[in-house]
Amino acid sequence: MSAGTLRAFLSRPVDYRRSFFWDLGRLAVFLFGVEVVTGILLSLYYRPDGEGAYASVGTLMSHVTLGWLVRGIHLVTAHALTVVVGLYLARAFFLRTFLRPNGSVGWVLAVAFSFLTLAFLLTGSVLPWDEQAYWRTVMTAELVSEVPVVGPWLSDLFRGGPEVSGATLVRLAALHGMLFPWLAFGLILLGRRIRREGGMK
Amino acid sequence: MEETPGSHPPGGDDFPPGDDGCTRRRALNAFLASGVVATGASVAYPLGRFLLPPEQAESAASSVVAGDKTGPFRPDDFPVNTGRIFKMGSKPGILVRLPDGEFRAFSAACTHLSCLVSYRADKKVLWCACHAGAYDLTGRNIAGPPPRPLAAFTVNVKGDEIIVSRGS
Repeated sequence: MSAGTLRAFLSRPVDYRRSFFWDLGRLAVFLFGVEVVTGILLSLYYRPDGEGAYASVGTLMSHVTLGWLVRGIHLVTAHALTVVVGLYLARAFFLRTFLRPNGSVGWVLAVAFSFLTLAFLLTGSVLPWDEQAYWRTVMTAELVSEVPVVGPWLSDLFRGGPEVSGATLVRLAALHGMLFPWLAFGLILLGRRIRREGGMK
Repeated sequence: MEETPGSHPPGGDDFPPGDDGCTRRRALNAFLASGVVATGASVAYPLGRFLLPPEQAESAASSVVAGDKTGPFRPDDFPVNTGRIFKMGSKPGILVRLPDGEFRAFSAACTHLSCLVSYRADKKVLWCACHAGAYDLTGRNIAGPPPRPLAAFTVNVKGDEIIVSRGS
């Protein structure tokens, strides 16, 4: 970033009377950026396989310099992001921003992003592969299998086999680290675009 | 920035420089810059430490029972004038039985580029096929590119186990 861009960004005109809740979208994007950076750092030490996952998190927490801090930031920011996204949705709902031009698209994108955030939380909480993670995954798989008609098929797709195993962990790690970030990135870009076009703040 | 006389802050560039030509502005800029550098360093240093992998627990065992996936080697099943690769902790070793029946063990990683060496029964040397390096049966590098001799291990036969240990 050049000094000129930075200066332009820092001196853009803003209404000093606006409320704290006005910047929730930017705050969410910032928190997402923190997740990306710390997530990449964590992926340097995490081993997404049934045998190595638990031990690799242990190594990260107790042997890697500041590993506990990076993981802590990733965890706390994840929960903060969930809260901020929830507040963002609540604000959009009560201020009826979805009635503005392009507002309905923005609402759909925001709801999609909030579901994505929950999917991040779900897949991320499984990665340490301890007892809690394992049983949570079993439970999720059972839940998925309750979907009418395609449930059992979806459940197999989720588990990567008839039982929750190391294959499930690999799938969830791939979703958490490879697919979801790009989806979130795409949603953010789309959101920026319609905001620019529609005059939505 | 536009330089109009009225907009100059008092004590800016108008302030007479000292004998060494250092103005107040330059001094303040230097202070600011050192602050920026210190902030950058306080982020970069911990990040660098995080990226540096932690010290591994020494996995290279000091003493192992020589064997491979098929199980431990047995002195009775070990033909003379042959050599076999075994695992010395996390590193490869080679166990050679000389024509006179004596066992010798060396690190099997060629000192040139860490290819696996093998025993050549026809020439009675330890041979690295990658770049035609050769070691004699004391581990000394005698031909080809290897710069150093192979590390020698101590071999003890106890019952029907062959125990290889590091050092003397």
